[in-house]
Amino acid sequence: MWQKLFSGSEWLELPLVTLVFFVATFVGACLWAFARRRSGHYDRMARMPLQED
Amino acid sequence: MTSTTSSVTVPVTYDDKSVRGFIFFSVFWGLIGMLVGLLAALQLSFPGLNFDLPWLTFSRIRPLHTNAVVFALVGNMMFAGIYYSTQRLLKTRMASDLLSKVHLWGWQLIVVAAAVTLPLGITQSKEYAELEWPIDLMVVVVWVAFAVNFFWTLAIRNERNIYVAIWFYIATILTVAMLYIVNNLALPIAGTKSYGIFAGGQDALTQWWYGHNAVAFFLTTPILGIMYYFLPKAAERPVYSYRLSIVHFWGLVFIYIWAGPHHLLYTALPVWAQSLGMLFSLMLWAPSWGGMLNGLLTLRGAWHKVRTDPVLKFFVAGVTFYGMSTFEGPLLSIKSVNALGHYTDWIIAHVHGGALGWNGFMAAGMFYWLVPRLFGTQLHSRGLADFHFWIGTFGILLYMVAMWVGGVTHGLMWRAENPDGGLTYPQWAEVIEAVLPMYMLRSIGGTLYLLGWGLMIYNLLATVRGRQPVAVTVTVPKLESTALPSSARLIFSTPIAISVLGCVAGVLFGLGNLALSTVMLVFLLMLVVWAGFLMYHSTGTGKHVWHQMIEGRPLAFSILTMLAVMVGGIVQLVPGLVLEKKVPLTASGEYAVAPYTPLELEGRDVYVREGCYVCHSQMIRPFRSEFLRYGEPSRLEESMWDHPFQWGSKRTGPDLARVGGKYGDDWHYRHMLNPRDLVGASNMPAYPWLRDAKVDTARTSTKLAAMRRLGVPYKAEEIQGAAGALLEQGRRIAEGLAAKGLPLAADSELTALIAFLQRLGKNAVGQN
Repeated sequence: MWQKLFSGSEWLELPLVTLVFFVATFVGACLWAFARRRSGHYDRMARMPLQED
Repeated sequence: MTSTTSSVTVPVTYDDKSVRGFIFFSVFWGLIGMLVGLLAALQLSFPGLNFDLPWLTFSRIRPLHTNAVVFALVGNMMFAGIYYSTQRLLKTRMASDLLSKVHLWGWQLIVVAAAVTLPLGITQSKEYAELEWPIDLMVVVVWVAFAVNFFWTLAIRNERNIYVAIWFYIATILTVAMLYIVNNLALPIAGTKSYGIFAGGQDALTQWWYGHNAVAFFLTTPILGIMYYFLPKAAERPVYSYRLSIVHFWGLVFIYIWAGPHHLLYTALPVWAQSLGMLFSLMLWAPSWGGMLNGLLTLRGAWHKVRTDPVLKFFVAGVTFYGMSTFEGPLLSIKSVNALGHYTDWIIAHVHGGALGWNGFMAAGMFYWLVPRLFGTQLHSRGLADFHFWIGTFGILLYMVAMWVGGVTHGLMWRAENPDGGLTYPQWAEVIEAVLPMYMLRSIGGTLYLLGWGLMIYNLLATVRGRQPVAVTVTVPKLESTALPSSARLIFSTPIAISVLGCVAGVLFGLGNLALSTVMLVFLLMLVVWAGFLMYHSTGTGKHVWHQMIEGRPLAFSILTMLAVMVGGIVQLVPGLVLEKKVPLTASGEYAVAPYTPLELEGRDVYVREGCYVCHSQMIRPFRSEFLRYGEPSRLEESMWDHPFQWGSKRTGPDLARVGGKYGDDWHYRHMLNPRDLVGASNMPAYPWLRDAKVDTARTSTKLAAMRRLGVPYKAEEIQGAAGALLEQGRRIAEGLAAKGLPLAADSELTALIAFLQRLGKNAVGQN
């Protein structure tokens, strides 16, 4: 059945679907990175270079 | 087992002597490297500036310039930053003073060895990997000393979690070791000569896997680590987003390694490899700009300091140049853009934006911040540092604009066609003449930048004059071992399973089967949703996420980093290594591409030694304009016996892939002695020493035997009779020249070079 489905279709949308998928992944990563939720660990790590020598 | 801090404290005295040493050598070698670069740039306008001396000629000193800037200036700067920040971030002294000394002085010995051998023409002719095998061995020994010292220091640290800068250092140390060893695998035939084990397309792919990632993991990742440490220090602000730095790191190290083939677009390299290179280059935009934004946004609330602090000026401009370069790189990887920009000075603009703007300015910012602190004083003159910044910025921009204009001009002139279908600019001299003003502007821009560097040297010397170095001792809580998840448990965990499944699905998606691609796309979507769900529920105050645990386990972190960078290399390099070499046969059963004759092979070695690849490609792209100018596009099998490949990366002169038979032997003779006798506008150096230098025929059979060991199909009798065959072919060429009143010995290096040039492109077309 699958073979029949794919052989009868050029599926020109596949690259577009792929593009949407990768953009969604990118946006997801951005949302996670820039999320406002605080983490004590990450805050502490971000300040590590500021500790006195 | 892992560790936690205790109430017990220990005194730690940092080893800043090594830091001072690396800074000194970075500044010094930087001056030398840029002076050599300026001389090379001037020679493009005034080719007589080599004074007919082989060791001062463009094609030999250009590799010296690139090696000096990459490995001596940036290398030493990187080591200074790594030694300083690693000790402070891990709250411990470097593990071994002896290994630090071996690293410091061993690296300078390597730089000196490069400075001596490259002008002498001792080279492998692979860009940024020119050094011959004895120096390669030195590099490996010194790098291992550095790695042992670094990882030993990690093992004795007094800080549980390793900061993002350290991640970048780990990636640098491991990946550079892998790249350098693989790309320099060679069969030595003498103390100063070897043949690489890869040939042709495989060599090209391996070389640019290395070359591109030398940019990635030598010029980028360590400097990003330095950015993540020194920028917050100078701005007195925490890193903008630590989560973004996690995405930045893993995205960068995983994606970068795949992008090498974008140096080989439209070549004879298989299209699938080219497409992978372009695709991953485009993906690099995301993590690169994520890192740039993370750097710039670290300055939020502190932008007013940029007005008055030269250190921040350099850092801000450096990170901005990083953003520009990492925008331009993927742009140039788009095949249609690459068709215009490749082989032109556009690439020179691009690399100098990275080297002068990103590396050079980050180095200057770090030195201005670091040197006064190492000597417990203030910078001698902020005004002078400000002037350095502005003159340097102007110099870079002048340089880049000149090379952009020159590059695009070249690209457009090469492809310009008349209405009748012929080339508008068939003569190479027309193309060169058009960009000569740009070459002069480039030299002026470089001079301004160099002047700024000189001002920095004066400023730093005036800062430390009469002062003693400061010994920094701090008391830190000692890290004690406690039971935590093992490295194995962290590696065989859900995030890794998701990543591996994602990679496998991505590869299957790309295989080209429509049904498989669709299924894999759905699977990937499910993976992302699953990952997002897990991340949402594991993030928040008080929760110990997987990445937090992995940051406390350097061994697990290093293994995962290594796996991330190995995937791309395995997918791209292994297929070519395991597939049998298929050289087409003629109708009579002979190889369509015959191995070089002994004289041609010797001539090829002269070509390699003189660095002809610096200005001439041997790769005709499948464009109409290139067909009209050079002939049929190059085929993969034509360089199948080439150890090393000579496809080149820049065309200051025309492509030579099919130059054989285009001109007579006498033309080449005259052209090599003085190109301007034949082409008035030529900016090619003269090579008069080749006429009197003799081929060492006693070594020719050794060379053929080495080639046979590498898979080139020489017969035993050909190897035994190599010297005789060489002289016989040389005699025929010499007699032809003598008939035209041009005396040349049969065993002259010029005879060999002419034989090689006349052979190029003279291959039969296979029947299978």
